[in-house]
Amino acid sequence: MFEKKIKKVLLIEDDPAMLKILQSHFPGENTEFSIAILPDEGIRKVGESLPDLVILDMMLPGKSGLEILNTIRANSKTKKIPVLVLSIVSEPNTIAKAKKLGIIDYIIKGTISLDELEKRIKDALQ
Amino acid sequence: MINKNKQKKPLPNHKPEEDKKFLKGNIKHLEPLLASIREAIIITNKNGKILLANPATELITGVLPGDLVGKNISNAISFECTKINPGWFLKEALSGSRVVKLPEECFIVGRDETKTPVMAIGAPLYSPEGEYEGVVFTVHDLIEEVRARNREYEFLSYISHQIRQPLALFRWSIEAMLREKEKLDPRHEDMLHDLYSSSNRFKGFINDLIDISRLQIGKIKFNITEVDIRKIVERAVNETKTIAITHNVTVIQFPEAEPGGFFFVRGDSDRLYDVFLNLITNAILYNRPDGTVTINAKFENEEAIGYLALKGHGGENISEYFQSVPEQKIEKKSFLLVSIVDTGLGIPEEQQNKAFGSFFRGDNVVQKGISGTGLGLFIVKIIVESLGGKIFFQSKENVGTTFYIVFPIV
Repeated sequence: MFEKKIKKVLLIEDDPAMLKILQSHFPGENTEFSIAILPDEGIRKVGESLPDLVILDMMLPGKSGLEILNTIRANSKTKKIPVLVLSIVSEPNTIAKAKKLGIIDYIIKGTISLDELEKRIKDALQ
Repeated sequence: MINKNKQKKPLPNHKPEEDKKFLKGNIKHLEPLLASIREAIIITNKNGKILLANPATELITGVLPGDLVGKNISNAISFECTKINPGWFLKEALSGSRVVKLPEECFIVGRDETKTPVMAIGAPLYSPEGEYEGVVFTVHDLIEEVRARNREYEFLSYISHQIRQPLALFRWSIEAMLREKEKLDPRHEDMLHDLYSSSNRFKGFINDLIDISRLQIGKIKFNITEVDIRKIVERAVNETKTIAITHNVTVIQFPEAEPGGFFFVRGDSDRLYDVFLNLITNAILYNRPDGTVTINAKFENEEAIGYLALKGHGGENISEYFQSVPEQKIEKKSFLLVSIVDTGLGIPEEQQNKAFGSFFRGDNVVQKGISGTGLGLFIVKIIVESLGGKIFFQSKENVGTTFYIVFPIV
């Protein structure tokens, strides 16, 4: 009960400014962020560190978020890791595909407030 | 070539000798010309039996002209439209009364199920004696136009999406700064608030652009159910409560309707909500203080609606709209007419014909410094028409505007 478990969050995102804002304003002392800028780096880090939550962008250099999600889900070691998508893509098709692969939430960048974003990331970490 | 086919096979159906006479007298010598025209040209008799089809017809239908000849056009060529029932087109054209145009977003479905977007016109063909003999159908392949338009909207969609990333950063950064108010100079805090509200408008604009590009490419799939317009309006009025209070405008819902009555139409409830939210918000924002917005609905027949539509803007082609509504629905009082009446600024008369265009803003509204993207009505019209409805309005400057929306009833 007194033991505070540090939650590991992996951000797979290629925009440095976006990474900065996500790291500096989110869930506080019990969270440890790590970063992956490239898709393959992201997939590798998911497998190595088995984070409590992956925050995944949909448009990354060379591979789409859906492909990354697919790879994470295909690996028995990582297939149950919660993934939250944070993307500019609002195409219903993409959202449906992501949901089918099992995600905890899909957030469209720029459509919600910082408060709401924080709340949803915290919820996803529960 | 086509002619040979015809001579070998006697034309089926009735009065073949009359058709032959007609062909020989009127069309035969035009065949070389018809063969060179790259638009599909199909000539039928009064009953719709195909007498001649030029070679270009094959490119669109996938059927050899010789195989079309002798068949009835309604069986031989399969039209499909996203917004309307295409059956009326052939029927109306074959009535011989006028030139009929197939509306936008229609396709010819080929034998291999491929859909070719087309523009088609049916025009009556008269004998030298002035007698109605048949119909000339001209079918233009729109595939290149559609591709070009889709490229345009895909580009628009791409750009709009790309803008979301920096926009999200701006907004979240401003919000983060405003959280630490105590560290901010009051002037800077003020600026940040201004920046944030501008970014709100910008966000709305980008969302509108994304919506438009998706509606135009046809990527939005409508979720059609039976929808009670009354409920939708209630929801939209509820959402606009705060701005109605701020602008001191009273919103009155269905004063003439029976309490508890329903106004069911077939539609997509989320999209219809967007439509009413948009129109009611406009009616409040562009109103005068102490003004009213009244939303009414009633069942009406074609005649009454046609009369209103022709007096207003956007309703010019109402008779084509009525014809395009599936036939079983055309009977007395078979349309729901919803009106949204405001007592506001009105749309300047000289601008009324542009009101449904993209980026339209009334000069009087702009002068008053009321902000907006000019995309609202444009989106509303696309949605209403995509759902098989019709929208038009009447407006007088400084008196008010009434928007009418027509839906075929369930």
